[in-house]
Amino acid sequence: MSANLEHSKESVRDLRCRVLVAGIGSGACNVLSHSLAGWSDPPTVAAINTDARALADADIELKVAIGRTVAKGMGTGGDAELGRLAANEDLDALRALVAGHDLLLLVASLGGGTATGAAPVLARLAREEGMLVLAYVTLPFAFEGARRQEQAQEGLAALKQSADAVVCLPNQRLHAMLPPDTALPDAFAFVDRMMSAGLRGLWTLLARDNMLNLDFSDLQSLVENSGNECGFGYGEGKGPDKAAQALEGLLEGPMLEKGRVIANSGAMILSVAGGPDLSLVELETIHRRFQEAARPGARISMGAAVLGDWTGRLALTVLAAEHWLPPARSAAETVQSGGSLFFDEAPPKKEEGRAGHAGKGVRQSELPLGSASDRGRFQDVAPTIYEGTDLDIPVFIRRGIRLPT
Amino acid sequence: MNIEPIVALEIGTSRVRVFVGEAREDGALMITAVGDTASSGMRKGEIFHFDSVCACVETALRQAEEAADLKINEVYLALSGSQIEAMPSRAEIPVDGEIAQDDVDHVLKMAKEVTLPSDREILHSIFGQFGVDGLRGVTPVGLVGQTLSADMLIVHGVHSRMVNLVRVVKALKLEMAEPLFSGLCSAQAALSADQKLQGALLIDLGGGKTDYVVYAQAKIADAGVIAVGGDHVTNDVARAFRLSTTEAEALKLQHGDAMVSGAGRTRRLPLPTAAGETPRTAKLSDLQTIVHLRMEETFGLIRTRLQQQKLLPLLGGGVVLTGGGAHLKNVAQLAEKVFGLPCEIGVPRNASGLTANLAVPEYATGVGAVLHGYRGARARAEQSRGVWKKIGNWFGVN
Repeated sequence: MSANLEHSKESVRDLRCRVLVAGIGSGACNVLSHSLAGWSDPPTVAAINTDARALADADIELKVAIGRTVAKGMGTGGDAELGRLAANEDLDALRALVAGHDLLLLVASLGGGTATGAAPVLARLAREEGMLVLAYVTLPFAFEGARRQEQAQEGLAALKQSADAVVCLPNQRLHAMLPPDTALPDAFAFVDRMMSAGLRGLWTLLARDNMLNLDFSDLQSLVENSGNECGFGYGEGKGPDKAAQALEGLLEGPMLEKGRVIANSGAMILSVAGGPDLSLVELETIHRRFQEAARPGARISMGAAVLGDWTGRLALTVLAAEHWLPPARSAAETVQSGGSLFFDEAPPKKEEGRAGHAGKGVRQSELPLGSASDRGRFQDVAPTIYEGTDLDIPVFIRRGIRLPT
Repeated sequence: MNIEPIVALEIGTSRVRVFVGEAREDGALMITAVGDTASSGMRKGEIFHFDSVCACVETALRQAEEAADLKINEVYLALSGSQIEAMPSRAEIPVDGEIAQDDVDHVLKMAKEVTLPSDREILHSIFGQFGVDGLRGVTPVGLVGQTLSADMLIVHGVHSRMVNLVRVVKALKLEMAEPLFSGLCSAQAALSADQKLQGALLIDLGGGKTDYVVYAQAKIADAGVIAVGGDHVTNDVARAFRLSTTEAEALKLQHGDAMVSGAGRTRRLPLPTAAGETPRTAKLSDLQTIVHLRMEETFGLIRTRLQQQKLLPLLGGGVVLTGGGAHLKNVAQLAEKVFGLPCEIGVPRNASGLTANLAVPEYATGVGAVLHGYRGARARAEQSRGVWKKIGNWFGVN
């Protein structure tokens, strides 16, 4: 046990410098500008935008202007195709940006032109570079119009193809949490706050020497088996019954559809952040409540972080897989099953190449599955993508077959 | 009839080959020289390092020039990769009474005019058949009817990638006779007239890509490239056993097998190790599994495509495998299993060799390109009658 703890810490330490949070489009850059304030140990954050002025205003260290030719620094005017072209114009700059990282947290407010068009391009590129890509997106409010809504759905579909997992927060779900007379700016500010809180929860989870550690491999296994769609929830509480408040906010609130998402999920990650007064009973309560709410046999991983100035506060962040795919079969079973390997029912569509980033969390006796090196000699050439599958990656890795036996 | 020697250049991912063909007295084609050298600077049938490719092509050209004792000025270029694919095109025009040659020319021209995405270019427009008032496969000139239709198959690829291959030819100060899709060349060389009539699937297993060409109902019905080849098998093997590409290639060539055998489960193969390392071994069945999965996937992709096009039931002539990958042990057995059709290894037909043994599957593309050039030259020399016949001969049944 102690050995296990040690290596977890080590891998977290390794990770600290290797997470990149990138916001695409004005909405996401806005969220990131705000969410950074007050983080004790911030990750590398980058802003990517076609709108030069919005980019200049963003309070973010790294800035990448894309599409200077196609968008002329003026934004895309809501045209996703223009956003896509802009990203394609500056592939090299984007590649340079993601180089040397393990995890890309891609933040985007889908519906806008830049975010919707460029996010899938960035996600695909980062995956090609061997990164695990977690996209963290909002969908527009219904009142923002059907066109924006449609465009956002298209962007979401494209992102699901190109990212490892998409954590999606439909703004409409938040609508129910707002008082009916909320002013428009306040509504957007609330969305931004929820996004930043979630980001923070996730980052806290990964980056700190926590009381209860989760590491990259936990996130990875969730992401890889989630059917690339994650639900996201955030709740907080104050005072003596802070845990109960946070739980209630989450399980009864609209973000997880009153607990429906939890009930359907096969796997989830809970991140608890609290002050020095965070108690074992509170953690136990939280864990038990989720166990009760989830379906039998669901995998629940929990991490907890203690933040010095959080006395009397507790925040709960949940990532829940909306689908859970069973782990891959072994080589012997597959080959001996007699049936044709190729024509087996729909291979799990997403695992190719991402079968693992060989984090230190992977046991040594197992094949350290997957990494950029899976592409081997095809690393430096354009991938052969066939219906969303990168054929350059060895078939046995894509099928999750463990070799050598 | 005097026909100049025909030269074909094949720039592949693993080999660069030059074939020189000359007419024999009896009118048959004889391959008089072959240049064959290892390729570098190519991946998946496309160029990624221009200068190394040029150097390899130059070496192969010199070999062939020396062997044939002639100066090569003009080449037929067999190319692949470039996301080459095919789509059917059909045009129909109203006619009034007896169909004239003008009507035929017109309908052919219309069938060739297709709209492609801006980055794509037509490589071949292959004539299929004419139809008069719904009656297909007729010779229209002189018939009477109300509508005349023409079916063609348009083979197209990504312009920039094909141009890069053509630029090699230009860089070496050669004339380009005609760019040809390598899969069609292989089909020209390896399929018998019977197979073309009955319907057949040709798969050319190259180092960097896999071409396929389908003959159905006596005409070319589909063609395309999958950018997966022998290099992928090697890469898979290298990845699984942590070997270098060279070591993995050697292991694949010596023990690679497209089928998993019972005996493979108990037999262990020594793996190359550096001095001082503990010796490693691998189970033969693991190697077989890796190769099997990759080949089965590739064949499966083609099968899916053919199923979608409803061509699978039309392949009475079975499957023919060409290219270096056809040497893989049990590969025909695997293809039979995947397609549910008889399968054979194809070698060039209709051409005899002077020196080299031509009857190997990897020569199909090059010999096919020479054959194509030769037939074209002969047709021109004969000034054959009627447009349809000329077009019909291009990759036609005969």
